[in-house]
Amino acid sequence: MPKVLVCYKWVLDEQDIKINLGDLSLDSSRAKYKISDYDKNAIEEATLLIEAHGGNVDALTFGSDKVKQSLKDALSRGPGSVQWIGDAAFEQADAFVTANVLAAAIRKNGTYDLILCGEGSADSYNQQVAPRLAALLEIPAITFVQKLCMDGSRTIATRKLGDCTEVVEVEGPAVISVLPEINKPRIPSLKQVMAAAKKPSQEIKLVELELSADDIIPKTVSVSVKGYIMNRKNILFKEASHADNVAKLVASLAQEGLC
Amino acid sequence: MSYALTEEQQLIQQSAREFTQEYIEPIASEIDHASIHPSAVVQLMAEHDFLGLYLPEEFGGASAGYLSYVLIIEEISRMSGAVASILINHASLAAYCVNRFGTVKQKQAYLPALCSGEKLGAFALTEPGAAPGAGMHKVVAAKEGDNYVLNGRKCYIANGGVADVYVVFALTSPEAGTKGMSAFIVDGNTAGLTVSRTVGKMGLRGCQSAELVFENVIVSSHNLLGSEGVGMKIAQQAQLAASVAEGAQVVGIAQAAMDDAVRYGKERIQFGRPIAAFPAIQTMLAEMATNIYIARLAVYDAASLIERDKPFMKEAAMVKLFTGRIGQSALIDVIQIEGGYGYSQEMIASRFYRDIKGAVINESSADFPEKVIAKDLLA
Repeated sequence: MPKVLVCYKWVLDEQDIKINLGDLSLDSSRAKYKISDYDKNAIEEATLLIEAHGGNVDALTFGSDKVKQSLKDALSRGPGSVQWIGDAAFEQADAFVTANVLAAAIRKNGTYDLILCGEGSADSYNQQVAPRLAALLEIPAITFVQKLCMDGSRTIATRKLGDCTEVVEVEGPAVISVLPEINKPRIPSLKQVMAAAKKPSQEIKLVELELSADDIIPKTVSVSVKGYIMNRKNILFKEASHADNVAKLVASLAQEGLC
Repeated sequence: MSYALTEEQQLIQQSAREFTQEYIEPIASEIDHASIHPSAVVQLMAEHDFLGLYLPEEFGGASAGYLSYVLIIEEISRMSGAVASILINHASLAAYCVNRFGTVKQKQAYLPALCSGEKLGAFALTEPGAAPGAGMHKVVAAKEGDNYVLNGRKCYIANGGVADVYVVFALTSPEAGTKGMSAFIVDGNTAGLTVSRTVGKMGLRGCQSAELVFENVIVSSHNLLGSEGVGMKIAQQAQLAASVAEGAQVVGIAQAAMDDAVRYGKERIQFGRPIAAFPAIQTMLAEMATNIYIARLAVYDAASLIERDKPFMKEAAMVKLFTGRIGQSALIDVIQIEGGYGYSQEMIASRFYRDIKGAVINESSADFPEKVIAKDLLA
């Protein structure tokens, strides 16, 4: 029976983030946190796998000191247990640091048949953690997965690549990053929410992972984050005949590559 | 007292919000227009444990508490007052009576099915000429051996005709008036119980209201709730518990309507400015936001009293009285702010306007809450 791990990120809900119109700075003072959207797909897929094949799903997350708030939310969606690393180092962490931390935590726990991640996070969307994790653990990475099946020790994944799909097969453990179309995450029932409180959660301190100082120094540093406002072009077509207006509109849309 | 919700309550609220956005928002207008009981939504609510969410785990519920329950009613009401009414009549009235006043055997027989959604509940008190809490009831239950035989008519019964289990109030001692009233659990398919007609309504359309006819309906004495003569006491307590849920319904509807008015006020340009820039509009919005805030606190407080098994009748009546006033005034102002747009039939503000009136008058004749409050004060 498969042993599956799912990694998730606890992010600010982008819907709650306001852009200050003056300097385009972001105001997240009223923003709530959520499990990153595609990670919800990863949790759902992991849960579907064990519902079909038996086995168990554990969850793992690395975040700030606020990440503890995510545990019951994650557990209500299917995993049987969760491990969390909450540390101030997360605030500046890039994909390099995140993958180092997650890989160290996974090594500490032994092996998994599959490790699932979302394709990218809702905040930075670097799409790097899953492949980096696979490299660190020296197991294959399968990205852009829109369909996943397990058959004994084999895993068969359908990858979405632009306008075609590729089916790949892998033997033994692998890291899989999933696209949102792979499933529709369940809305936890109230009994699942209530049951989450009784499932085990375990904190792992960053120091316990025995990472070197270099492992937790980000390679990329965020210099600034600003809102992006798309200004309207305010183009008015004022030709005498509607036919001319339509022709100009179509030409304008074609120029933008929209038709 | 602080109302920082617990982690579970916040998750339940979030889960309910995801649920209502996914399953109720897309069809809320259609439920209103078609005025048809949304059985698929009720089934989904059952699958997500909404139907028995505050009821005990041992009888199939989720034991999530009454405060969590009103949080869910509030979320549902932001999308559809009608769906909230279906749940309130099922959970706060029918299932409440069985859970609060039933024997262990009665609970075992009825609660698991009411929690799982296999059966939907309804509360049959009102009769032609006898409003809730007012007396003048005529439906009788005559004792014959081990059974009671029910005869008479009930009207405006929410979930009537779609429910499988009715908590029915009938006079076992007609000469004693309301003191001779008793409560019975009656299966919807019992011979002699028929729906004579459904009633078209101004709002809360989709929560079906029906007239029920009892013609020699035989009910086992095992289905008597409590003892003979305590029917009115059971009815009043259930109605007040439901008043708290209806308070949450009013808060949910008013909040959604205000959110709509805020959005409209920012978008609608008059005299070169968004109308939200005008003091008259701001005053209306500020007043309704304040009232909704205070009403919500009162609803949560009364719900937590019920959850902790404390006396709640006075506070529930206060919730009914206050939310009734502020809910209606909020919707009058929302329509005023939105003008012709809000008055249009296809706009949600007009639906909320019609729904909130229903939420306010349910379980309450005009002065029922005041009587309950004054009785407590003067006792």
